[in-house]
Amino acid sequence: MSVFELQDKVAIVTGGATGIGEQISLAYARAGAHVVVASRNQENLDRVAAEIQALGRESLAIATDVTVPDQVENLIQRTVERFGRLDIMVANSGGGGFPPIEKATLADWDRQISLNLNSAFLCDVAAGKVMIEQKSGKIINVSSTAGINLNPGMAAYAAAKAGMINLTKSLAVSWARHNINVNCIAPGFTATAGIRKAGIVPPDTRPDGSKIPPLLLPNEPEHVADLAVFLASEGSAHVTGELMIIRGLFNMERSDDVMRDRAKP
Amino acid sequence: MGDGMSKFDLDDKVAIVTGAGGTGHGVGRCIALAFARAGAHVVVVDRDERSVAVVASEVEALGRRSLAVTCDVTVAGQVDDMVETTLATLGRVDILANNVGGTAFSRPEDISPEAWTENIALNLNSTFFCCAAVGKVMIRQQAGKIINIASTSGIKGEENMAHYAAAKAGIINLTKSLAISWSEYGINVNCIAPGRIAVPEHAIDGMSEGEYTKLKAAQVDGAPGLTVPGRPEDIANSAVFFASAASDLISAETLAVRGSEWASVYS
Repeated sequence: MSVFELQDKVAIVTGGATGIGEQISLAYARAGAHVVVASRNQENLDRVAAEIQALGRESLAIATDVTVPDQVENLIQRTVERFGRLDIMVANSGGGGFPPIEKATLADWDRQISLNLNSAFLCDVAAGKVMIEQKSGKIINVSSTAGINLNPGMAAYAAAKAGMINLTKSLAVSWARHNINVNCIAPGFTATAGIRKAGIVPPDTRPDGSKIPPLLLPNEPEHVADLAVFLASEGSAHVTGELMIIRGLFNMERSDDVMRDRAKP
Repeated sequence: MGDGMSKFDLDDKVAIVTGAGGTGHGVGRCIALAFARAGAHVVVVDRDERSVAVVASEVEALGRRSLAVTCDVTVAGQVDDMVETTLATLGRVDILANNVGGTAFSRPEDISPEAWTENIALNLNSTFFCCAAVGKVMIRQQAGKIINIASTSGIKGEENMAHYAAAKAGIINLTKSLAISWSEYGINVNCIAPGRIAVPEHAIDGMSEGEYTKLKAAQVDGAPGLTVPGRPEDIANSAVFFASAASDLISAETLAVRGSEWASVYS
C-alpha cells in the first residue's frame, strides 16, 4: 500500500462542493477516503456527494454555515455518529468581498474575519476534540498567498488568511503530543470554475502559439488537491505546523517586496 | 496501487540520488529505495565505492534498473562525469535528489578558514555542482524535478554549527533562485529541511545512547510521534512527493520535516 493512500479514512471538507474544495473532496475519495462535504448550498453538496459515491466511497452532504458554532458542532457530531471517527479535517471555506478600506465598516471587517478565520477556528477546534480522543488526526487549513503577500485591495481577507497561517502553528504545537498534524496550504491564483467564468484566467499559449510552461500558469484546483492528499497521508507523518505555498511561479513576482516596490507613490 | 494514487508514481523515471551509499545517516539510501518502490530507476551516487554497489543491488532487487557511481560531488569534474555516465546508460535524468552533506561542530570564533571552506564545499558547492550539471540536461528535456536536502539549521540557525547552518541556508536560497530561473523550462526545484532524524543504527546527531533508548520507548509501532525525531522514511516520502506529478505546480518551496521540534525556537 502506498504511503499516500487514504484508505477508509474519514474526512470532512468544508467549502467542499465547489472550486478547490470540490477537487479536494474528489481526490480524497479517489485516494480511498470517505468524505463528508459541507457548505451552505445543499444542492451543490448533493451533486458532489453523488460523485464521491460513484467512486465507491461513502459520503455525507451536510449543509453548514461554518461561521455558526452550533452548525459546526452538528457537522462533527453527525460525521462521528455515521463513521465512528474523524481522521482528516480540511478547513477550506472562505471568500472575498470587502469595500475599499477607507469605506469599510467594522461590520464589513467582522464578516470577512468570521468567514475566513473564525470558520477555521471553529472547525479545527471541534475536529481537534475528536482527534485528541483518538490520539490521531490531520488538520489542513486552506489559506491563501493573500495571507503572505501584501494585498491593499483586500485587507480584511489578507489579514484573516494571515491569521489562519499562525493559527495553524499554534494548534500544531498544542496538539503535537496528541499526534495531530496541523498544516496550512496557501494557494496562489487558482483557475476555479468561478474564476474562469469571471474571464480573468490568462491564456495558456503565447501569441506565437507556443505552450506556456505549467509553472508560469495559475494553479488548477486539482493541483491544490494533490497537495492536500499529501498532507492528509502517512507520507507527511512528521510534517506539522508547516505552510506550503502552491502558486506555480505565476505569482512569484507578486511577492511582498515587489508589491511594496510597486506600491510606492 | 489504486488509480487515485498514480500522481505519486515515478514509473520509469530516471533519478539520481547523491549521498545514497553508506557514508551518510541512511537518508540517501532511504530516498533511493523509496524512488525505486515508486517505480523509478535510480543512479546511486556516493564517495564510498562499496556502499554504492550494495544500495544499487537493493534497487535492482526491487525490480528497477540502477547504476552505482562512485563520485566526490564536491569536485565539479567528477559531477560532470557522473551525469555523462548516467546519460550514456539510462538516456535521461528526470529527478535529482541532492542529499550529500555533513555536519561540523565548532565555536564560530574557532572555525578556521579551511574548515569553513570545507563545510561550505561539502554542503553547498556539491548541491550547486549537481544542480548545474543536471539542470543543463533538464533544460534540454524541458522537464525535470530537483529536490535539495537542506536542514532546519538553515532556517533557524544552529549553536556552534555556523558553517553548516550557513551552507544549509544557502541551499534554501539556491533552490529559490534556480526555481525562478528554470520555471520556463518545466523544471521544479524544491527543498526539504529535515529536523533531527533517528536512524536505525542509533547514530543520532548529538544524542546519547540513553536518550536514544528513551526515544525508542516513545515510539508506537516503530513510528515516532510528532514530539520525537523523525525517521529517514519521513524525508524519503516527502522526496517522492516532490519528485512526482502531485507537486507539478510547486516550486521554490522549502518543506521542513521536523515534527513539533520547531516549536521552542523562532522559525
